[in-house]
Amino acid sequence: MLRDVYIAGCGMTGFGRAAGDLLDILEEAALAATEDAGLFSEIESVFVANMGAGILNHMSGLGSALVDRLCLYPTPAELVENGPASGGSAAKIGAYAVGSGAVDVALVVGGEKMRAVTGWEATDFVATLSHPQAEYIYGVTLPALAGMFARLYMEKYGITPEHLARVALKNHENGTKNPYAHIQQAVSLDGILNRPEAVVNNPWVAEPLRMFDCCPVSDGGAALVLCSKEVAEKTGKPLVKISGIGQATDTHAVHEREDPIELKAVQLAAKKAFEEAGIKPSDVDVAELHDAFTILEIAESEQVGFFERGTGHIALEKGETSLGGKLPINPSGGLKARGHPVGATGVAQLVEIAWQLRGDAGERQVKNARTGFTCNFGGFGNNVLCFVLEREN
Amino acid sequence: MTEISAYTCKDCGKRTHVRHSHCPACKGTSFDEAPLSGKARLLTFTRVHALSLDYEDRHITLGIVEFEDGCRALGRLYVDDPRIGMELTAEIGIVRVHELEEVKGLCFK
Amino acid sequence: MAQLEEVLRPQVWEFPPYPAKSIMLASGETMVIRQAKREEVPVMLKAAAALTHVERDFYDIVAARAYAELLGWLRYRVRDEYCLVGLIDGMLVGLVNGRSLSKKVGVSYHTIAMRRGLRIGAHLFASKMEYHVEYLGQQEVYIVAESPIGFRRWMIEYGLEKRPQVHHELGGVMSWSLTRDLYFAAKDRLVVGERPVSDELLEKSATITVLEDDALIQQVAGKLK
Ligand SMILES: [Zn+2]
Repeated sequence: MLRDVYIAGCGMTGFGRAAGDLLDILEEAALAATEDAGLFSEIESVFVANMGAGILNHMSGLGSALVDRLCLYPTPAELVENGPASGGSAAKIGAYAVGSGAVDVALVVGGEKMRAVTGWEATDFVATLSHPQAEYIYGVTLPALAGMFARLYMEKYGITPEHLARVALKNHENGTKNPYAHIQQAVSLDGILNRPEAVVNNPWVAEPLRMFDCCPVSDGGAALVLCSKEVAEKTGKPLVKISGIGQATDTHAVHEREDPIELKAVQLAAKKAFEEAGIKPSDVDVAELHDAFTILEIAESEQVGFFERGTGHIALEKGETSLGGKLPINPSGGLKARGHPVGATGVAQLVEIAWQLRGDAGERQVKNARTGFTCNFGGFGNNVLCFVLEREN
Repeated sequence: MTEISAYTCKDCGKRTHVRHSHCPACKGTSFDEAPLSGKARLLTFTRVHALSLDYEDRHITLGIVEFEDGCRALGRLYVDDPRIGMELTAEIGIVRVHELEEVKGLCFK
Repeated sequence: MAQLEEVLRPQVWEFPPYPAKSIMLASGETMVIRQAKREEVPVMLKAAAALTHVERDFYDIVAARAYAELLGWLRYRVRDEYCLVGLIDGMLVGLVNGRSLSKKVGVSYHTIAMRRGLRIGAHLFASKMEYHVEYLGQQEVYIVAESPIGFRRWMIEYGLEKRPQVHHELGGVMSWSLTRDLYFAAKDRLVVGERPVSDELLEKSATITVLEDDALIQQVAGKLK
């Protein structure tokens, strides 16, 4: 990028079930971020992230719809759709718009209203991102792809159902400290795994994954105001810089990957983000990973470079990724507990990290966090965005 | 019965089930199309319980296999006790009834 | 009047009781499922009345009908009705009811979960089936549902059979049936719980308490964000 890009404002709606429609969600998130930044009429470009409005809400042209709601016209606006990585993509494009010098202030808003349909329909909607002839026709769901991945990953590295359950335990616990989280309910290892009741409490979704290995279906929105250093300094807020962005793609059909447990797009996107920021994974103080499934938090924690391959579950077991541990992962509750309104998630991850770096994360604050990382995983790993954020002053 | 195709790169011989404009191995651009059939080895699988509204089954089993010529594909498994590495035979069958239309695909037995 | 009342009051079959059981939920909390007593109906009516205002997932119609059924039991206008309640430290988190059509056939009425996301409805529905088949010794249970989501889930999980010739008491629509065989085929997957329940837990569950109306409505409808 030609110049540095900063996060001047962050905002989120409570995730879960929204009272209003999709446009209300986008509006609420946008206003929260612009109010936080103290910038509104200064916005020169708007990027809306959403995956499913066409299917779920019978809406299109969300960029235009949002600028109209905000009366921001004639400000340029567009919709960015990149599956569950839509949020990361919109943030990247917004950052490039500022970083190139094309604009000084950009608004990035991600939102999704998934609970307009039943859970079955929502699962089928997300499955439309799979390969139409080689996957979708077989009734593939994202949990099914994750289940096949988990079977191999667990076997290879000795990961047990208890390790998966511990990801859920940690993230649900973190969710109870996040007022924006969809699920603010702690779970117990006995209740979801050890006791005989667990067969009903925590039924199979796609073996070896159970209900508490999967994120919920959520409504919600998140927004960022991105700007140049000059503008950021005027806001009087702590300076949070986007110091590295990495993105990579992989095969559409999972079966075409040479080794199905290698998340190459995750590895490459993370590597590029760290290189651009000029830091190492070990420099990171707090991370938000894309735990749409518990196994993914473990796999990503290794494949972005935080832990040696095959040791992510051991770090988890030792509490290294819990709040108070060496590298807290998903202090927000992650997708597992904060929820996963698909188009909003990538933006929500950045909002959480920006709050952490500013010291605004309340009960879930990671002490002295100065460097943060996000991984937004689209498709089943076929389009991944990673970001490094740093606190400057 | 409809066939499910595989594509063989004329330059390097790489076989894929998904059609591409360029060979994933050598970027070649010409292919021979032939039906995908025969014996295959199971690489991974899952029994899926949370299904779309198209299904009234309590669960279905899906797996990824590798054919003897190295071509890989995902398909429906009709095996009681699937094990990684087991040998399966491909057949074409109805894999989904989507909006009243029967969809044919790879089934492994 | 007493004579007229006698005509209207249904004959009552002294059916066997449902032995209480305890279930640990995903949250680690213990839910006791026990049979409700007739004199406990008023407190359940309070909860049901509150839920008639929740349109989401057909809570309104389910609660309104359950209200009428429970009131009918209290005032001797429904024959052979029972109600099982789910309690966490005495707090009502769900209820199911039904009745016996005959000694051989049961009728499932309603299932109301008052906390979400912990599969309380699934546990209570399973307990109701357990009661009909294992304790009342019935051959089959007629089932229908107002909520398509709940119905589809039960239909698939239990593999219910159609009973096109039977019009269910709830709205006269076609019945589905859970036979003994279907029940025992599904039991390992769907019916859990520990017996006997300790005296201490029973003591905690002796008195039913319910949330205030607004809190209950919010708990069920979800805090809209
Ligand atoms: Zn080739």
